[in-house]
This record gives sequence, C-alpha cells and structure tokens, in this order.
Amino acid sequence: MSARDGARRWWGLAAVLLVGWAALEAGLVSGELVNTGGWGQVKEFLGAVVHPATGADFLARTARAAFVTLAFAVLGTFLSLILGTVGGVLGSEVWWSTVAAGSDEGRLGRLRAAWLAVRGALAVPRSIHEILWGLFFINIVGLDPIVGVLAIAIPYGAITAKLFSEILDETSRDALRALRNAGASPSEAFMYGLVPEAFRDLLSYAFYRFECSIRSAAVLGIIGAGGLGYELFLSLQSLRYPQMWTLLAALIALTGATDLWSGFVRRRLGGATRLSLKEAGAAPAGPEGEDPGAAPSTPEEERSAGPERPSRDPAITASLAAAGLLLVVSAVYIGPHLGEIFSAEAAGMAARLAEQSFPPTTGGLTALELVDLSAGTLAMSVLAIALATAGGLLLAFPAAGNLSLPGGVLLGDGAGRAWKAVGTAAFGLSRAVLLVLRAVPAPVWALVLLFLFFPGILPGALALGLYTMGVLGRLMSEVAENLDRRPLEALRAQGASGAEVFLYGVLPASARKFLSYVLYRWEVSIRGTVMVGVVGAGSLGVLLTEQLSSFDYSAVLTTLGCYVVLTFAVDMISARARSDLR
Amino acid sequence: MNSISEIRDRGTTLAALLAVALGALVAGCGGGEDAGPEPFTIGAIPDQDPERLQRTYGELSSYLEEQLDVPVRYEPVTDYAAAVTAFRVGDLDMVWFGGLTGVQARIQVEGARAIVQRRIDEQFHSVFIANRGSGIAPFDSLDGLSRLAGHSFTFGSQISTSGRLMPQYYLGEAGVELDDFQGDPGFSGSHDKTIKLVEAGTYEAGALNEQVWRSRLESGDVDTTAVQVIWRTPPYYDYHWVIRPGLEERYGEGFVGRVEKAFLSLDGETEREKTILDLFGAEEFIPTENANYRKIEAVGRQIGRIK
Amino acid sequence: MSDGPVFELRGVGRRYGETTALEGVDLAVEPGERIGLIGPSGAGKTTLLSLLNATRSPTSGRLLIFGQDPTELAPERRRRLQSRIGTIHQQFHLVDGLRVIHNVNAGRLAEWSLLRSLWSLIRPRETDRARRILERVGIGEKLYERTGDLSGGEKQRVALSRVLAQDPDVILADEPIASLDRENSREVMDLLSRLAREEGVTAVISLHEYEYALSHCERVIGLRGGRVLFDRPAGEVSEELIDRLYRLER
Repeated sequence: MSARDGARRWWGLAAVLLVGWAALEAGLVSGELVNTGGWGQVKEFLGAVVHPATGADFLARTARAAFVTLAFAVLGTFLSLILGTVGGVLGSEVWWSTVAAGSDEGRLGRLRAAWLAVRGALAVPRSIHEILWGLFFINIVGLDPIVGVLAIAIPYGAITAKLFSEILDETSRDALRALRNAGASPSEAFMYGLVPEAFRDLLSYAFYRFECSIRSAAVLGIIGAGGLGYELFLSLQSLRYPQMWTLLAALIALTGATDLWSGFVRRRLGGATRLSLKEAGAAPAGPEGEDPGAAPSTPEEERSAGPERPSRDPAITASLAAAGLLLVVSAVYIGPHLGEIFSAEAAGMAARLAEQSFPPTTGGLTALELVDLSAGTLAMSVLAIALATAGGLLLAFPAAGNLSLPGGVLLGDGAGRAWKAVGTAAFGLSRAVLLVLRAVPAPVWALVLLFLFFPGILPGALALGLYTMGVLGRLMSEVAENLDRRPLEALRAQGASGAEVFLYGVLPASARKFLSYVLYRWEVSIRGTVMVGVVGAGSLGVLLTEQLSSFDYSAVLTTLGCYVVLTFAVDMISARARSDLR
Repeated sequence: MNSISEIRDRGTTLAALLAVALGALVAGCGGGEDAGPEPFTIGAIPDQDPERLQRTYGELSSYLEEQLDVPVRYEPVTDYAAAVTAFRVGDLDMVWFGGLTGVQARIQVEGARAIVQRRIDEQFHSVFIANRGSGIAPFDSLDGLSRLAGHSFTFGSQISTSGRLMPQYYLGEAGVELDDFQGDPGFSGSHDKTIKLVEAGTYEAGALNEQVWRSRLESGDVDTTAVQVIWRTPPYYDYHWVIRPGLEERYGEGFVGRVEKAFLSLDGETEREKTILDLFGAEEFIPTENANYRKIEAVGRQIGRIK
Repeated sequence: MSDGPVFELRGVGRRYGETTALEGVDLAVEPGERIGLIGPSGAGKTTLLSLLNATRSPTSGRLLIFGQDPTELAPERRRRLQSRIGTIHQQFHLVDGLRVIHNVNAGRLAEWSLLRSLWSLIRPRETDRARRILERVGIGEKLYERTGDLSGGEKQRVALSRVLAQDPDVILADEPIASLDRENSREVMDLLSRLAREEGVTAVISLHEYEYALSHCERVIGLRGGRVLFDRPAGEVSEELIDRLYRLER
C-alpha cells in the first residue's frame, strides 16, 4: 500500500465522519423532518406550471427583466475580467519574480511577503456572497445599477484573479526567458511572452464566469437589483405561482441559452473551466508518433484528438464581437454610474459605515453561540455538497453526450434501437433536470422545501444542494465529455458491458477532476448559505439578515468574519485534500 | 506559439473593444442630469401586496406629477432594509414605510418627517394565527400568548412592524421569549408566506398584519379548516409616508404641504384616485406626525430592532 | 477453438462520411498465424484492426470472425465473441486513474458478472492470477501501483497483461511500440511474439517499423490507400515492394 492509498483512506474516513456529523447536526437522525401538511401548497405551486401568467403586459415585463438580468451579468463579468486580470498579474508569483524584482535577486525575498499579502487579500472578497456585496454597495451609493454590477464583479474578480495567477504561474516561461535574453525589459517580456499565452485560457474562463454571472444576477434580485430575480422575488412574496412559472421559464431559457453559448465557445477555445490548466490541458493529446492511426480524420478520431487551436477561429471572432456588442448595449441600457463609487458622497457614506462598524461587536451573542451558528452553517454546506455530489454523479454521466448518445462508448457501435432510444432519452432528461436545478434560484427552492420539511438546517441544505447539484452536474458532465475515448473503447473492444466500461473506465478516469470540482463547489456553498438563510434556522444566514435589518453594522462585521474564517478553513482543507490525493 | 504580429493584432482588436465598453460604462455618469429638474423619487417597502404595489405604481406617480407639477419617479424596492438605506443615502425622497422602518429611517436621516397615513394606520392590529392541528385554542387576553411557548412559531419579515415588532412585543409582555418556542422562530419574509406556512403546518403558529389576513379571507385564499385566528392585538400606529428634509429648497416653498394635500384630497372621485386608494387598501389618508411613533421606537429599542 | 479461419474478409470496405478508409479487402487469417500489418500513414491499418475486434462494422463487404458475422449477433453474443479477441494499442489505452491490478483485471470483465466487477474494485479479485501474468511480462512488483505513475514501457507491459488476463484466441496489436524507445521496442516485440507462440494465439500486429514485421512475423500484409498491396510470407517481401508501399504520392 502506497502513501497515497493511506491518504485516500484517511480522507475517505474524514469525509464520511463529516457528513455523519452534519446529518446529526441537521437532526436527520432524531427529530421530525417531513411535514405532510404542506403537500397541498407544493401541489398548488407545481400545478401552476400548466397555467403560467401569459398576459401581454406581464410577458413584456418578463422580456424586459430577462434583458436586465443578462445586462447585469454581461457588465459584471466584464468588470470582473478587468479586476481579475489586474489582480491575477499582481497575485502571480512570476510577476513578482520577473517584473517587480527586476534583475535584483536580493529584493525577491522581501517581495515574497508582498506577494503573499496580495494572495491573502484576494481571498477575502471570495468568501463573501454577492448578495452581501450588493447590500454593502447599496449602503454606499444607494439604488444605482452599479450596485448589481459591482456585487458580481468584486467576488468574481477575486475568483478570476486567483485562477489567472495560477494560469500565469503554470504557463511555460520559455518564451519569457527568450525575450529577456533578447534584451526586452521585464514588463515587455511579461506582456509579450506570458500574457498572450495565458490569455486564451483566461478568455475561456471568462465565458464560464459569464454562466455563473447569470445565476448571480438572478439571485441579486432579492436586494432589488432588478431583472428576473427581482420580479421573481416580488411574485414569490405574494405567492403568485403562475407569475413565478412565467419568470422561471424565462430564467431557465436564459440560463440554457447562456450555457450553450459559453459551452460552445469554451470547447472551441479548448480552455479550462475552474480547474487549473495542467489538468484541463491534459485532455487527450493526439499521438506523438508520425503515424497517428491509420485512418486519419475519421470523425471519432478527430473528436478524441487534443483541442485544436487554430489561430483564427471565425466562431470565436463572431462570439467576441457579439459579446462586445452585448456589452455596449448593456452599458447603455442599464446605465450604471461607475463614477458614483468614487464620489465624495460615496466616500462620506463609506466613512460613516466604517464608523458604525468599528469596533466589531457580537450583537449580544456569546462566542459560544457564534461557534454554534458557524457549525450549523458548516453542516448545511456539507449536507448540500454531499447531496449535490450524489445527484450530480447520477445525472452527469447520462448528460454526457459521448457516453449516452448513440455511438457513445456506453452503448457501443452495435447497440439496438431500443437502447439507443433509452440513451437519447436519458441524455435529454438529465440535461433538462440539471438545467432546471441550477436555473431556479436557491431561495425559490428553499421556499418550496419549507412547505415539505420543518424549519431547520435541512430545508436550507436541500435547497442549496439541489441548486449546487445543477451546477456540479454540468461541470461533471463536461469532464466526462472531455474524457479520452480510446481507453474506453479498448475496454469495449474486449467485450466489457456498458456498465463495466463505466466502472473500469469512465469512473476512475474522471474521479480526480470530480473531486476537485466537488471541493470547489463546497467552498462556494459555504458563502451560498446566505441565500437560504431565511429558511435555514440555526445558521449564520438568519443571524446576518437579522443584524442587517436592524442596521447593526458592528455585529454584521463579526458575522462576516465568521464566514471568512469558515471559507478559509474549507479552502485549506480542500487544498490539502487535493494535494494528498493527486 | 503564435507569431508576435498576430498577438499584436489580436491585442489591438481587444484593446479597441475594451475602450468602447469602458467608454460606455463611464458615459453612464453624465446621462440624465441635464434633462429638467431632478425627479421627486418615491418608493415603498414591500409589505402588503408587494407584487401589486410595486407593479402598479404608475398610477400614483402620474397623480402626484399632476398635483405637484414636478417629475415623479417610482423606484421599486424588494427589501425592507434596502428601502431604509435608499432613503438614508437620498435615493428615495419619500417612502411608504411601516411603523418600525419609518422610525429607523427618521433616526438615520435628521429632519425627516412623517406626514400622512391611512385612517386605518392610527388603529392598526396584528393577528396571531395557529394551525388547527396544533391544539392552540383562541383566547381573549394577552396572557393567553403564553400558550405559544413550546410550539413552533414564525414572524413575517424581520423588520415588519405588524409581522414582527408588535407581535414580539406582546409576546414579551406575556412573558414569552424567543427561546421559549420550539426551535428558532422563523422569518417567513412576507405576510402571505406566514399564512401559507402556518396553514401547511410548517410552523404551528404565526403573526401577521390584520389587514392582509382579512383581505385574504375575503378573497377565499385561506383554508380556514387548517388555520384560525387565535388573538388580535391591541391597536398601534403603523404605516405612513416619510419625507426627506431639504426638498423645499429643490422644489420651492410649501412643497411638503402640497404633497400632504395631494394625499389628503384623495377621495376616490375619479377612477384613478379609486385605484390608488385601492392599491393602498385605504379609505382615505389623514395627517400624522413623528410623535405618534414614540411607542414604536421604544418597543424597537426594547427588543433590539433599533440600536 | 474452431478449425476454420479466424478472420475471413470478402470485399470489406469502411467509409467515414466522405472518407474511404478501406476498400475491397479480401483476407483470410488461419489459427496460429502471426501477421505483420504495414503501410504508410492513413493506409487503413487502425481501421482494419477495429473491424477485426468488432468495435466498428464494415460499410461494405462481409466480415466473419470465427465464422460468425458480428453485425448479425445480439449484443450478448457479440460481447462473447469480442472477449476472444484481445487488443493492445500504441497509446496503451489504459485507465491511468486505476491501480495496475484493476487494469489487468479489466481483461476479465467479459467473463465476470457485473456484481463481481464492482466488488473487485473495492476488494481486488484474482490477485494471484494477475500477479503471475505481470511476472511473465517482468513487472510483478507493480501490482498495486497507480497506472498513471508508470513509464511507457511498463504501461505497454500492463496493456499486454490485460490482454493475457483476457486469455484470448487472437491478439491484435495496433502500433504497440510506436511510443516506446528502441530498447523497450525490442523487448516488447520479443515478448509479444514469444507469448503468442507459447499460448498458440493468432496475432495481427500493425507496425510502423516494417523491419520488426519482417523479423517477428511469419506473414506480412502491405496496406496502401485502404487497399491490400501485397500479402505474402515475410521471407518473400522484397526491398522493391517496401519501396512501392511507402513511395510518396505525387
């Protein structure tokens, strides 16, 4: 048994214990959970799907709202890309060691502290949910559309910065060195030798963030940022189910369209989603030998060849042009006053807010109570990610076209018509389920579940889990679609059945990336608990909304601190797990 | 690796794109300020029928525009606290607040004034409701609230006066603390949700705005075989319009008086006036003043809603 | 084992959309033969092998494997047929995330029930058998290593072990040494022909390095442009034939 096997065993045990503890904490073992009395309400909600609101006025309102949501997402993504590029450069080790340090080796040691400080500083915005950023900016600039844009751009900018700095550090430095040797200045060498190499991956990632932005823009409706989310929560407050279905349909269509576009662009760019590029780029590279298989350019072989990187792809150019146009139209339509955040008024408001927030207090809670609520929050996120993982695994494989569709490796060349139909149906159905799961905002899931379960950690965890399942399942099915097809066909060729190909090929080949995605979404789920705070009795979310509604900013600051600590802890655990299980 | 010229090419395209987009983003700053006087911006907390209120505000803005002869804009808000904040930072000049949010807003904006309210708001009530399966029987006096101890309970929004503040105050008077409920008390988020969650049995009991309860009873939206009123609170002051100071400098002497008059003269004679009164669930509007809300403020401080 | 030919091809062709990969191939392979398949890039070697192991079907002509037409078989029968044919590849096509033992046992999947396959992932089955096979190819000590950590030569030995675990009547090898260095190439080829001889197995090996085909096989088939250019004993393949096979099209 190697050290890795030992580590795997320990981490497996730890995961089981953690989920077990979370289940205990949520009262899954004791306690009454299911509320049969609420079934009528849920039926009413579900029944409304067949008669959504279709008045001309309401449809026009829905269409406008859909565009607003899209516009917020576009602007938020754009700004986060700018922030992420700057932050990514400043957070990369290579920038500090080549540009900042110049040729002075001695300075490097002192600069290392600065580099670590930037890295640390970038971690804070990530641990605070978009909704909270939105509330923060409302306090400073009031009801300006820039609030929604910044609420997306700040945390996303920090996430993008983290990934971009990783990309920069992992990109080969050969070109950089060559340019330096040819006499280019450090910053020139950096701009020409490194950034262009990494840029394509950044662009690809930006499209993935755009998908996420749509979902965030929808959730920001809670705090009144406009768009589909705003309309949805308005209808939710008054329990107008038919209206909700119209809005949900629009949201699902918008999410689906965005995901399709982003998926298309990312496939063409051949870049990463969340994971570092070494892993993503390690997708099936074509054989290095001179004879790459005797029948070249067969469709199957082409698909399994490594991502082609043509210098000018018309589809990419068109997508970029469309994105640019969308950006301009969005900026004009929404009209965010970027200048407002730099105004004297905003500065005054910020100063006042700071004054009210310091020193932080616990708002009358004991430290023990805070720990208890933090534990509840952690338990909620653990249950959510456990549910999302289980469901995501079930749905991701049928949702991967290279596996389940006719001609896919699970069916093989000789599958009968019935099996082909089953495969196609499974593909369509699992895709649709995943889309609905992630397009419906978690707070909406929360309300529906609150009719079925008694209040506590469980309904919140389930709501967050369903939503995360939609996101995770999509990421996982992308992993599965990028699998090297040939080892799977090799198994198939010796007579293994579809299920055995799955067990001995698909599952082990995708396990490690799955794990990375699961750990990553766990981090996201921690801050996501804010979204379901209202139903999540026993977690920090309720406390936070309570403090915000009584404008007790000094206590808010403490609660935010708890979130930051939790996110840091999860971040560390998952980094450790990733490196141990690599 | 790509050739340098190609990289530069792509770089130029990209830089141009960035420049245009940034330009458009910043251009937002200048827009709208040169077009006539600044509009009188109004808003409302999303409390009663938020869906209707927020989506049919057009009638009220055009009525006020006519009466005041200044441009009026309605800013939709979905969150109680956001309404208070927007009022504080000056994005909303006048807001339809609840009792508690009005007090919170006036504390944060010196010189802000409560001006008018509906007749019903002088004598507002909350109702406590319970699921019939919970075994909580209706009662007549405040002391009866002590029966709620040991049951699960939900408020409405966290800073709703009728859905949270006053119910919690009366619970306290009867000696029931938040810890005495089974589990943590819930915050459903709206009066409608409170009704439905108690009806469903998710929570055994809850408290909400009496006006909403009656209106839902009339329209047949309540399953009275599942939920019933167990107690009605004594009266207190609730909803009212609060206006920011300094508006007379902007719109001229006597502006606030004209706003008051515009509301007080709503009598439902025209179709539009009827729609507006209907929207607010009012028969008529009457004058009010900050002093009416001293009790609310005291209660707010007592239970920690005002710091 | 049946007495008739292992493979029988009559006018077999295969198209991918507009591209023709194979055309009018007539061929018969008898039990125990060791055949080298050579030809330039794009000649159709990989396609021919994929028809022989029934992962692809011909688009024209008729192919019989052990006297049976795989396209006419029900999936279960077809899998049974496929389990008699083992294939190794240039890129090994192993699952890197699995330990060596599981990759070797993957050769047993057609024999095993689904439940047994599943259980073996948790608690490896038939470890003695797997170890013996690995020892035969010279890497017995790698049983529990993660496959992705092995070198190219070791991986090809694992792939060979997987085929041995399958205990097939035929071994197909698609460019088995194209990714290996000179040293490993010779060892793997020696191993392959020795094992084929010892087990009495029919072997069809496509090779980029025609010298190995001449030295390690009895019969050599030259493919060019999807057609059979020549098919004769290794001793009768002349320099001139080789030249014609690899000559550049103008």
